[in-house]
Amino acid sequence: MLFQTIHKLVSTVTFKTTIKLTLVVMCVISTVAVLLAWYSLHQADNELKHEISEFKEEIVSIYNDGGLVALQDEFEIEELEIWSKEESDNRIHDDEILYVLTAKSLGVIAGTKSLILQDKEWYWQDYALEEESTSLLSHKFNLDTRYELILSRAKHHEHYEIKENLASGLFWLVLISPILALVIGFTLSRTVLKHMQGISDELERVSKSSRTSRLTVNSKFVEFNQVRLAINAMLDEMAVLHRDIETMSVGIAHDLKTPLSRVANRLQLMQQDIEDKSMTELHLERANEQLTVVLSTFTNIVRLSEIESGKRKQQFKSLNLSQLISDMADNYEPLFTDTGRLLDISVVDNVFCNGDPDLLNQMLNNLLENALDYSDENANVWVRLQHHTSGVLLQVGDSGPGISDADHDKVFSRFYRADISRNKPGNGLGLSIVQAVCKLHDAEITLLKNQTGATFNINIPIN
Amino acid sequence: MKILLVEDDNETAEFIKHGLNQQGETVQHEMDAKKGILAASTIEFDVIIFDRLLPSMDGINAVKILREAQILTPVIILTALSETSERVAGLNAGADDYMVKPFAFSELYARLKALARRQPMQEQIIELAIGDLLLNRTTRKVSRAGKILDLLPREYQILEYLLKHPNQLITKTMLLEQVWGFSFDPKTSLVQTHVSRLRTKVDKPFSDDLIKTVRGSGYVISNNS
Repeated sequence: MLFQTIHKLVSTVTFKTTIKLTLVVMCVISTVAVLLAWYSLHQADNELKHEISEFKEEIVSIYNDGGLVALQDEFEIEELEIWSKEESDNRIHDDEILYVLTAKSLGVIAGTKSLILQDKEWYWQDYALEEESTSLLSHKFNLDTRYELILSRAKHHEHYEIKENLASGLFWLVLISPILALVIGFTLSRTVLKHMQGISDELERVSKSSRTSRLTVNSKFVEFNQVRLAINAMLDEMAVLHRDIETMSVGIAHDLKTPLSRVANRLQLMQQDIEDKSMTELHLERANEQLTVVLSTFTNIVRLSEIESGKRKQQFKSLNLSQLISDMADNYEPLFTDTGRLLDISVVDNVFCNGDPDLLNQMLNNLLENALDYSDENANVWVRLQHHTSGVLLQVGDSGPGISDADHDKVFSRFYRADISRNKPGNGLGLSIVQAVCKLHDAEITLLKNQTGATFNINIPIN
Repeated sequence: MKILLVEDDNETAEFIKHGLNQQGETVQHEMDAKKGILAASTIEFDVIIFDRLLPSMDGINAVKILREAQILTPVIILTALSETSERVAGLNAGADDYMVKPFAFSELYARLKALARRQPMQEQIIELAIGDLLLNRTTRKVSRAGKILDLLPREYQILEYLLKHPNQLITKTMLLEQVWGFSFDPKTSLVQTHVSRLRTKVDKPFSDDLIKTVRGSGYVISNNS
């Protein structure tokens, strides 16, 4: 049980990231510390060199003015002597400068004898004290042709302090940070896991309760609220889709119920009139007509889903839209004239676009059919194609009576029928197909507001 | 007519066989694509009806095999798939017509007749005629009893199609497909209106009608009144 819990906590992204980040931070801090220490040590060495140089200048100037005697006076030395090792050690302890005075003919005549002499201007050397050892920086120069002087001074105490501090700092860093990382990782991981578990528990509850049920958004932490809000938005979207499917199923049921009950009626009538051949034939014919309506509803549902799937986009070809629209309108012109309506066709020439001619024909067919079925007798109907910003505008409209404002948003919905009695032919899919064809062609269709009749504007982009 | 029917669904096969037998046609029925191909390559038929979805093979492939074997008997494909792309695939494979189930028997029969009587050379005939009606496909001039008729392009196309299939039932759907190129069914009286206008020009001024309406089915152009 405990092992499982630990395994769960350790497997989270939060935990792993915390550990990784801590290790990275640890490496960065160590590198910076080492670099800083190196820089400080370098600075300290430079300072030491600078001190020795200054001291040398002072000595050279005094020597040039008054020779060895002046130097002896200046440093209050009664006679030139050579120090014992002990004396030298004491001077190093007191952080004083050691010197070695050499006469070319006689060798060392004063100062410490315990130093190693090298034939270099500047050099480092180790110096063993009683309990420890230290590094000395030595500088060798000639006072004149007879005397040579070597000045040496031990590294400052700070130098060793920096080194020690760095070592102990790094030691604690390496020791503590993994422990800290584990603690932070576990804590963070547990907090996040707890919130996620909360969300998933709630989701389980929501999935089992009513369709309007949503996640609560009351977490103290903004990120978890965001997740909850996003999930709620998704649930809303799903509810809309669900409602759409429901509306559609009800629509299909309604649309099929009317013709099917008419078929049922005709079958009963046939039974009653079975002796009367001409009546039986009439009932048969009527029943057949109603079944055609049912089948055409299914055909249109399949057609609509074929269009919406976007498959037909692959068959797009360049076509003369002006020609297609003119031909289609010319086709319908007699139908309008015969029913006392007037069809006005005004189409600009030679507009080309990429599209599916069969679908565009059906789109126009559906719009013109609607105009025929739903406009007043003696109505004016028009089909116009004109150039427009970024494409062409196709307008199909009639002079009345139009669609009530309340229904404006619904006209493109599947199975919407202005004719509630369902006495006029059609299945409420006509404008859904029109909209789907428009969408496939990246065209935008709108039903204009505040018009006496129904006017559809279709903005078609032209490549 | 001698017809080969390749259809695995018994219900549909019975429906077609019954109708064809009533019309006095001879039908050979096969349930399987391979047997269908075998029959088609050994016996000469006037027309073949192939179901699209057969258990062992797609009807489209069967048509391809027939055409590759140089069997050029007209083929009509029956299918439950109504997508236009399917129709195009069928015609591309070498089928001569394509019908979506369910269909009216009269529609199928009209199409079978049209396919069976089609003359290979028909496309090259310049002058089509019936009775005293003449249509010249080069000059696109139409005259009846020596009088020139002024037809609109669409009316000309309808008349040309009818004249290519004289004495045969031409259904509304056939006209929509062949003259308008529509793969959908307009709910309006589009075909009726145009045919009626054509008839005002072709028949009304004369004593007898050449274009006849077959109620609920379609039109026939014929000389015997």
